[in-house]
Amino acid sequence: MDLTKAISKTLATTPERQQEADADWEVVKKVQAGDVAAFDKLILKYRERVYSIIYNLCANREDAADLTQCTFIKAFQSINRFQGQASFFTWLYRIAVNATLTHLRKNRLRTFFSFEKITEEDKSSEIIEALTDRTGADRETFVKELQEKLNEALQKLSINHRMVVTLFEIDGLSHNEIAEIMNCSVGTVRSRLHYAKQLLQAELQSYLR
Amino acid sequence: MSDHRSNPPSRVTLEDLLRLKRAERPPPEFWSEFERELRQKQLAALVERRSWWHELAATYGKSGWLRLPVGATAVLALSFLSLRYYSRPGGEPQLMAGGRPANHAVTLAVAKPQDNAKPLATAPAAREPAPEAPASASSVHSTALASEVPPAASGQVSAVVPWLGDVLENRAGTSELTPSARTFAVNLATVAVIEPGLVDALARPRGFEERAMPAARPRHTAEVLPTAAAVTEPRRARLLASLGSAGVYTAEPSVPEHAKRSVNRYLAQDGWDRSFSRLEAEGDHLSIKF
Repeated sequence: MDLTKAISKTLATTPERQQEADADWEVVKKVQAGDVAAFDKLILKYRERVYSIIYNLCANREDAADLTQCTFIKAFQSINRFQGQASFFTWLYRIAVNATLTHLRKNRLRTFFSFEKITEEDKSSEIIEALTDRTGADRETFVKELQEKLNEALQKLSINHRMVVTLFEIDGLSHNEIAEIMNCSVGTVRSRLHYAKQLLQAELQSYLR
Repeated sequence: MSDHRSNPPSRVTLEDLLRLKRAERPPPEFWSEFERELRQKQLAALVERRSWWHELAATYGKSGWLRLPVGATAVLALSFLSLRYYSRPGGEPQLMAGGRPANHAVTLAVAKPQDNAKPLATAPAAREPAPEAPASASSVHSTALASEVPPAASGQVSAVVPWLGDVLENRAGTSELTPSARTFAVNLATVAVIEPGLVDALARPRGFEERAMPAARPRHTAEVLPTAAAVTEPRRARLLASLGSAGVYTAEPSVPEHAKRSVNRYLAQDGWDRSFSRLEAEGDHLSIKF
């Protein structure tokens, strides 16, 4: 069973990911050997991705910043326990996800949203353009409203469903990687993703034409 | 940019909307602040002391080859201790029967009541572990010790701790006592010989004992009445006057002569036992109401 899992994982891992994992493992070995400064490379490499996951899960920029810092501190404290069986980023994501889950469960009743501004790049700009052209609304007001609606819809999902959507659609991880991070089967990931998308579709119907 | 605007997507999908979330990014200045805070937190984490169980778990987790032998040893030790504890009659631990506590009693024998220079047996010598002494020898020794307690002292001891007094009077049973009880008895006996006043002081009820067990002390009318009279002054005066004229109000709990006579007369009559209505037991008193 483990062998099948390992083979499917190897097949599912793209060469870029594999290269990335190997490079990370080299850095981790340096840190484990006592070169503490090498850990900064890992922080610089992953801080935005880790922040993005946490931010999309809790929809609060201050909490996301705190939790990202905590994630790196925890990773640094337990770097000696990292054996290289999984890739470093999967291990780091797992720490981040667990920290966020703990935080969300603790503060279930306290929800304050604070959003980052949407950085308008090619793709996002196109989408916003298409939506504003259709509605004829003021661009800035429309973007703000859309952002709020999107976050509201995501917050209506359960933590597990939100996590699957965030990791797959926003961070672009594969089903296998998500399954490894969330410690569940690929089938579960797929079904959760399907269900979450159905719910989101219903919530954001007015924008999807 | 103008090319993109000229060809906007005809249909916006859910994936497109979610892609907008990717574009929610913090400004560059956010990361300099982030870096500074992270450094501070890293330093704080270095200074912060981790709990001992974290250290233990980390050490135990690291040394994987140790897990099986350490776990097995722990289970064996626990089973052995449980078996040893529960196999004894009454579940009394081994330590109470032999070994050190028994030696403790033997050491007490050195501080005999006759020896005024060494008044108390709880001297430091008693705490020192005595050289190996077999449990049987020590119990014989402590029996002999108990027999040395003077009878007068045992009377005083019984005033302080009734059950110990009984035990001292019935000396044959002393060896069946626990070492701590023997120690207690011998110490009290020593104190009774050296400082008789102290034992009297100990025997007097005080503090909690006095408050919690009022039935144990004799009731004096003189103590009760003023308390009751304090409620209303006229009532107090009336009660005191009536009791004074009847000769009932005395400072001592003695029964007046005329009351004794009337009780004797009453008891001499036939069928007196049919006339009493209530039998009341309160503390150490038994009262019959006619």
